[in-house]
Amino acid sequence: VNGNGNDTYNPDVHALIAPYVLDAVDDIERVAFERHMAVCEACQLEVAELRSAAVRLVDDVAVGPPPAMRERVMAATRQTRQVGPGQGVAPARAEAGATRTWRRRTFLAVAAAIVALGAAAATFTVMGNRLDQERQETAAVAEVLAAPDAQVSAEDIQGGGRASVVFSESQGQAVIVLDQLPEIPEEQAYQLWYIGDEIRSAGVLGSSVDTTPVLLGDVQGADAIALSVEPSGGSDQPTTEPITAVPLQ
Amino acid sequence: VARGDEGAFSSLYDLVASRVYGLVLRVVRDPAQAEEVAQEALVDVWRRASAFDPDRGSAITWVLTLAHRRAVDRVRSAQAAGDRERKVAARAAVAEFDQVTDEVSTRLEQQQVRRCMGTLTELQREAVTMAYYGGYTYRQVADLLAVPLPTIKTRMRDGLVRLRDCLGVAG
Repeated sequence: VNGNGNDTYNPDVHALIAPYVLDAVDDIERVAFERHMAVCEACQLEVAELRSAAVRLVDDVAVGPPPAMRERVMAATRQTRQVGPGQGVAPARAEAGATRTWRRRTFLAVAAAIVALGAAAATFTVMGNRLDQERQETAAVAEVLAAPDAQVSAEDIQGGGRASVVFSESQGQAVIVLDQLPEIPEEQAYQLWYIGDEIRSAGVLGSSVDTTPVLLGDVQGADAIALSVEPSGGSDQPTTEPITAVPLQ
Repeated sequence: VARGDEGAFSSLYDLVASRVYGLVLRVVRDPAQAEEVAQEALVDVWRRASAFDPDRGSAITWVLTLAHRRAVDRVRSAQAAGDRERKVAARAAVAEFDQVTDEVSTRLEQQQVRRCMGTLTELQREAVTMAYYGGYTYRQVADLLAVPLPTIKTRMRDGLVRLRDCLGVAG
């Protein structure tokens, strides 16, 4: 999954430009096109132009909403935290310096979210090989992947590999796939974290991690999922800098 | 809006609400569901305001792009679930349903869009509207119109290009 240069022009993917603008592609095609677009400046320009034209079709169907919708939307926004660089939520005073760095990195990651095709494909492949005893988790994973609001985000991992997260807000769950994560000494372990107003452990993975999808069942309040290297057995709070942080969006 | 200004958001709401709701209603068709999806889309605009990049188009385009995606997602998941879609409580919304578009300027823009859509070939127009208003994928559109896949992709693009040129849209 290294989208540098070589696949700049792929005629099959490129031909999806109008279906993409019209939201007439499936999820896999959308991700494929967005990857292509990330390295195709002409596409970005054309998408912007065609999109501006397409949304004008809305002029012909505009209809005043039910009057009560206004207050419902306003009420909902009062209870909804904004995400991203503009958020400006001050970290609690007692937070350690390391934690602040974490938050900053998280926001940077949110701002620079990159979507990868590899994630979904790898997940499905791996899922095909799951054992019976894991069926329950597999079902939960499948549910997240099939959720209509499922979003894929991916980030490179410092030191090698890539972390891809499929997140469903409606289900309050996410699935992470770690691809090509280097093996570390046995006295260490990879640990996942929920990053939000507080940092909570999302599970200790051990020193050797394969691409089996990991269900993150408790994403409530988290803006991102991060990964760090900890002593084997894991830590209560991260003791080292994260090697990646994937935003939940 | 990106800085959490609720006043700014309420102005934005007044500017876009009838377009967001009208678009979603056109795609999902059921008024109660349309209100739910439009509401989710507008809250999403609030939540993700900082992700809006003015270099990539106007705010209204961004908002409507978000809303359209959500509407299409809703239609597709309803299709996938064999239409056993949960019907949300707000049935009463149908009663307060207001057909009148409040902005006069919208009517002028509406005429312009209709005129420009008239410059498309029939196949271009069908391909674009089935996808955009109907929420169909290009594969479904190709199927429904009995046209090969590469043709449908090209017609959609030609149609949008013609619409863009006619409207004189600035990217």
